[in-house]
Amino acid sequence: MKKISFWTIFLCFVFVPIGLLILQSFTAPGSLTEPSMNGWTGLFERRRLVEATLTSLVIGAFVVLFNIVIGMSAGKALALYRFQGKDILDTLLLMPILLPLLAITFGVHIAMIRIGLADTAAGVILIHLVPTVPYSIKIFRNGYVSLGGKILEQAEMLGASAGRTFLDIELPLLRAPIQSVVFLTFVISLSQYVITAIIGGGTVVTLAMVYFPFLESANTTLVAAFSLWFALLPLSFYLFAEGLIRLLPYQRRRRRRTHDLFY
Amino acid sequence: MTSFIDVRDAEKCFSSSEVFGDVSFHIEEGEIFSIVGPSGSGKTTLLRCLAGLETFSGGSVHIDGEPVTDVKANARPISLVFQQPLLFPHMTVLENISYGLKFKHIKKKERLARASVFLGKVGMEKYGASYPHELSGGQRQRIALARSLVLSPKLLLLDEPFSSLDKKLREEMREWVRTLLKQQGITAIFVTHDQEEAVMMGDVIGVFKGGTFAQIGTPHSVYEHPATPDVAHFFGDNWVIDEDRYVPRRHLYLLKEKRDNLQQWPGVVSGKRLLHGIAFSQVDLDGKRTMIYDSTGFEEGAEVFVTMDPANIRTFQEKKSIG
Repeated sequence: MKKISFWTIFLCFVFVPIGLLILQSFTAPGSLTEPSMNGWTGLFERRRLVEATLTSLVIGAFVVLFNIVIGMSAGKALALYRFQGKDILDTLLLMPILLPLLAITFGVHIAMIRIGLADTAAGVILIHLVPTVPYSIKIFRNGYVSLGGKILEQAEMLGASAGRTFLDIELPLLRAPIQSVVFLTFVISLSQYVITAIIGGGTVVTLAMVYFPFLESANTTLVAAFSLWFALLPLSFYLFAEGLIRLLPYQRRRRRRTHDLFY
Repeated sequence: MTSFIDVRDAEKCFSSSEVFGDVSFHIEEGEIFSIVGPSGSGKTTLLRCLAGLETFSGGSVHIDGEPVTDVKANARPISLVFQQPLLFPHMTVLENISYGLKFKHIKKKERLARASVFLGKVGMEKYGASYPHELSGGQRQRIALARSLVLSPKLLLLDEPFSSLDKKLREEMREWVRTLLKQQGITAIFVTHDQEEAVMMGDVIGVFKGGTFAQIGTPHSVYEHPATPDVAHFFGDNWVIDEDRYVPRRHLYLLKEKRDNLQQWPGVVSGKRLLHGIAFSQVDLDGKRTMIYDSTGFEEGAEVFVTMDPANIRTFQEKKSIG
């Protein structure tokens, strides 16, 4: 019974809207029966679509990379090490999502103009870290808490260096948090419009900046095609990242059971 | 002549408080040293310092003549088996056992061959391709032991490795592990809070209390000749008369009425016990409950006098170390 209602809800609220979106992208505006390819052809006629997609991809990839590096190191420290001022640091690291992002951006913009980071992709990458890093730290912190410090000490006792422990134990066992961070931060980075516009100053054009002006358009076919294109990007990036994760040591075989992980 | 393992004046302080201090002992090759003490006495910290997971605040450690105090944990010829098996869940049993050999620059084929030998030694040949979650608690701890033993460490540290197992399994494991360690000629330090386990596992016992060794000796000598009232209390089979004197409990007996020429204490029988077919009375004495051999067969609630032959009263010896 439970299973049936779950699938009904899932079908109604997930598959039906996506199905409608796909259908609309191949049909005339306002109609779901009259076939039309105008949405997709119109989309690819946009001058900056490919360029904006690539820019978004590169910026997103760097944002994800920095999030993993910062999130893992800060999350590990907060989860496993004892030091003075840990609680204060914990709160401070959460601050960026407690303060309005726009307020931070305006402040940071001035600083970026001074050091020459305004209107550059590097500046945009940095500002995208503000709404993402706090989440990554939280996710990795929880990951390291459930991993526990003992299993890392065990690897050390068997002769593993810090690097080997990271590669053989931490990365494979933190696979789930890494997957979450990859997907979450990429989507957040991709969706940033205002802060990208301010820091990028119109020079750095991401997909969101091309996409947002369309939202008010009456051409639902074009909007549907654009939305699908927009959604494809994080999905493809996720699959790419997933491929990379599979290259890690001890990932050859699918684990027979994923829960009951730690002993 | 120096010993195989030589620890001198080791101490550990956290900020202002001392966890342990004035810790010195030595172990001969192939010997098992049991460290027994109540929880919170600092014995696990001592083990972690020996393993290199934490640093000593002072003192020195030599293994086979080499100083290791400043050697990093992953480069010490020491292996540690924790309370939990801590097997790597994403590796098979065989990969778990062979993991440490990777860092000894041994080829993969040879690594797996050596791991298989140890899998056989712990009696789990069939489980090489299994994952840790498919094993029982006792099996996991065996694999953890094999994973440490395969590295042929000069010193094996065991930190209450049976504490997560149930009583019956624990008893089986004790015997099995001791036999295995002896067969392999492994020098080991075994930490426990259970005096029975310490006696069974160790060739030498160190009673650790308040951050230092109260006594080090053979199980027999520590049991029969406790050095301090603390040790006598901890081993529980002695009746401490005062700061200087004690009587092994087996020499105590019960009287119905007071006698003039004997030292005796009034008590009340609060329960009866049968151990291995012999009757004991549980007597409340000076607010402490103690089990005393009862040949008369006193009823529960009976008022009795506890006494002993003065010839059996012993005095505590100075804290001493064998060697």
